[in-house]
Amino acid sequence: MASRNTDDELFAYAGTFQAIADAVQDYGMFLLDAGGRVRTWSAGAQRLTGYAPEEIIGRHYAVFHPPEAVEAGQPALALNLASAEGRYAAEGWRMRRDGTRFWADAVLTALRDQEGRLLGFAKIIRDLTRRRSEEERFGLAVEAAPNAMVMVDRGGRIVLVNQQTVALFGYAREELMGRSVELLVPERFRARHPRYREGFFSDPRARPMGAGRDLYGLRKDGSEVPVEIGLNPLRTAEGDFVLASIVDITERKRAQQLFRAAVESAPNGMVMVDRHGRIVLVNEQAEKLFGYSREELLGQPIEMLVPERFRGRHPAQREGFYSNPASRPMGAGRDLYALRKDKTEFPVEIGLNPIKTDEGELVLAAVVDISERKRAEEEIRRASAALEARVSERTAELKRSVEDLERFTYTVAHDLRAPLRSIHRYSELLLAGGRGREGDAGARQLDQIAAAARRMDRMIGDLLAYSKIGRAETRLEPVDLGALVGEALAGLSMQIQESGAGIVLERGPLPPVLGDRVLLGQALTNLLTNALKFVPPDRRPRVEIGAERRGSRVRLWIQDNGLGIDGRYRDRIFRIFERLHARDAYPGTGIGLAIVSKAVERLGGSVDFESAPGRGSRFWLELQAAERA
Amino acid sequence: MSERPVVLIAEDDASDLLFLRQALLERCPGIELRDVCDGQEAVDYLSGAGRFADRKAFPLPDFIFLDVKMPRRSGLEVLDWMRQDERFRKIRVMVLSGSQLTQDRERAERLGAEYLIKPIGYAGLLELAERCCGRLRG
Repeated sequence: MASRNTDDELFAYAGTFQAIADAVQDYGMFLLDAGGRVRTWSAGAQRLTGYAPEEIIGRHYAVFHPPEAVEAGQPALALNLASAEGRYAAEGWRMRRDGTRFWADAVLTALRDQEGRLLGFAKIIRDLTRRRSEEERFGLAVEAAPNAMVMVDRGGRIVLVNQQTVALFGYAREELMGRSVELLVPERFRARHPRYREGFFSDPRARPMGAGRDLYGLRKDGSEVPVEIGLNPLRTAEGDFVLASIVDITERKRAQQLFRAAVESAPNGMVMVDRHGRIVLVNEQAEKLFGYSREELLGQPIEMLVPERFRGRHPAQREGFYSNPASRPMGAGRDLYALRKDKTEFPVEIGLNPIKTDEGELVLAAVVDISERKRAEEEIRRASAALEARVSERTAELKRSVEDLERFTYTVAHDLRAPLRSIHRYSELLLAGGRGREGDAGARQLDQIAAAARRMDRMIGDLLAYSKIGRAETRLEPVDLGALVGEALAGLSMQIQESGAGIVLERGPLPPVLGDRVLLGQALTNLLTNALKFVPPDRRPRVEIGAERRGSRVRLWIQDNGLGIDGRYRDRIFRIFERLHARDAYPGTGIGLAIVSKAVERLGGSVDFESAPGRGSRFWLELQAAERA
Repeated sequence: MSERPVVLIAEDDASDLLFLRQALLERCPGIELRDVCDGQEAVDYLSGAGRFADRKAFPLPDFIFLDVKMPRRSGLEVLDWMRQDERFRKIRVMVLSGSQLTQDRERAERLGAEYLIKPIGYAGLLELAERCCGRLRG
């Protein structure tokens, strides 16, 4: 029987096959006869399926297949295929003795004799359940990832994509599987891409793709999308793969562009610096301010813009800012300077703003050139210094001229009067020596000479008094008007006696005023002198003195019964050297009322009068009251 | 030592000197008069320097008239200088000025001297001489 023969030959295989089969633990290895019945069994096969050798030998290998597969004729089909092809491999569900299933990788190999007659089959079966579930889990994880995930083999073929990839690129899953990943790379980068991929596989480690470069993906509709891509190597039994995680950064890019546009349009120089003090962003104003182009600035240490003499300290100050990052002006209180490319310096004001980003903490510095302001300040300073110099120069000049005036006054006071004394006394001497006899012309002329000398002497005295009033230091203090009037009257007792004048003091005490005793005394004496003097010769002078409160001021008035003053002369009488009467009739220097006017002016008071010709005058001084009303 | 009181006049104006001498001789008989013509001479006289070394001829005065405005040293400077020296403590001083100048008056009075305005008439000078006699007696 042919089968007998083939069986024998198969058994010949079985001898060596059994030894190998029992040594291999993870595989079930057994032989089938040409009809598909189990002829040998191994320890591995028993462990996988649960059948003991005596239970299984002689049974058709279809018992390992699930009923639906048997119904579909798969076991028989597999035998036919193996017989025809020499080998048939498949993955699929298999049944254990207890009815449970396992995912298996099975290989059927046809065994033939030298004439080519089919002897039977060697079957090798492996449990892939665990691997399969790992793959499933991996697939699920990829599917659940928030980003687009694309798995690519060494040849650049897409072996796995998730739903996010479909959504991002607009391709259906089937359109991607098995295709080259360059499908998703924009044309202009495509040529370079395989080289990059090779680079990755030659040193496979997790890393971001294209560090520093802007990456774009190509959608099915031809549009591009800015992306960030993370690469992860996968080493499997089937070979090396790379799993790319792709993030759409359109939004982030837009925000960045907005930020850049804002920075660019700022009116000040803007310089952004990273944690290490490297310049990461500048605007056009900054380029103009510092004279560097953008390319010359980016990536350089910020200290290149700091003048040499401040540079050493700057990194430490930078660190100080990070220890308490808050928006604030740099270098409070210090003068700041910046360095241009051409090594010139300019004064600046700098505002610092911390900015938190994915790339770490950055500082945005707003730089304002304050040269103009400084120049203006300097100008003002110079101008005010010049003004001050001129003022002090003028003051010195004024002081000199005041000193000159004082020396002049001193000379007038002493030297100008000496010859007058001589003239006067020699005239007297001549008279006394009897050179001119009583009543003769010579005597009268000597009298005239003496009188002239006296008049000139008085004039000099009055002028000195007048000039002193203008220069004297005044001290405002409470002055007892009653006492002052008393003193003035006492000083004029001679004139009062000679003229037989009647003096009437108003009843009651006079209110105190704020004034300077000396100046007030001079003013008062002059007014009283006038009241006594300018009276018609046939009339006995009568002077009334009184005072009254007028708000915060006190009016001291002096009423006389003299000649009176024509209103026409109102403006003139207080001027120096003005006289209304012939010197012979009413002697005087024309200085008295000028002294009065100047004195009250210096005391913050005023003088005025009312009068009618022939009916006397009333002069008054208005002064600050020493007491509150 | 002479028992007669000695009066020294420091005055640069010859006319003023002449009339003051006249008034003093008229009202203060028995005084001995000396005169110098500026402040420096007054200092030399008082310290017995140079031509004033002979104290018999130039005895220390009991009374001095000092004109304020004189060449070389003013009357007030002489007064200042005198007040530094104990020897001149008892000498009475009358400062004569052409005009009333407040700060000069204050300075003279602070240094213990009288301050008077030179009178224009001879009558005034006689009063001044009498005042001097009064001081010498008192």
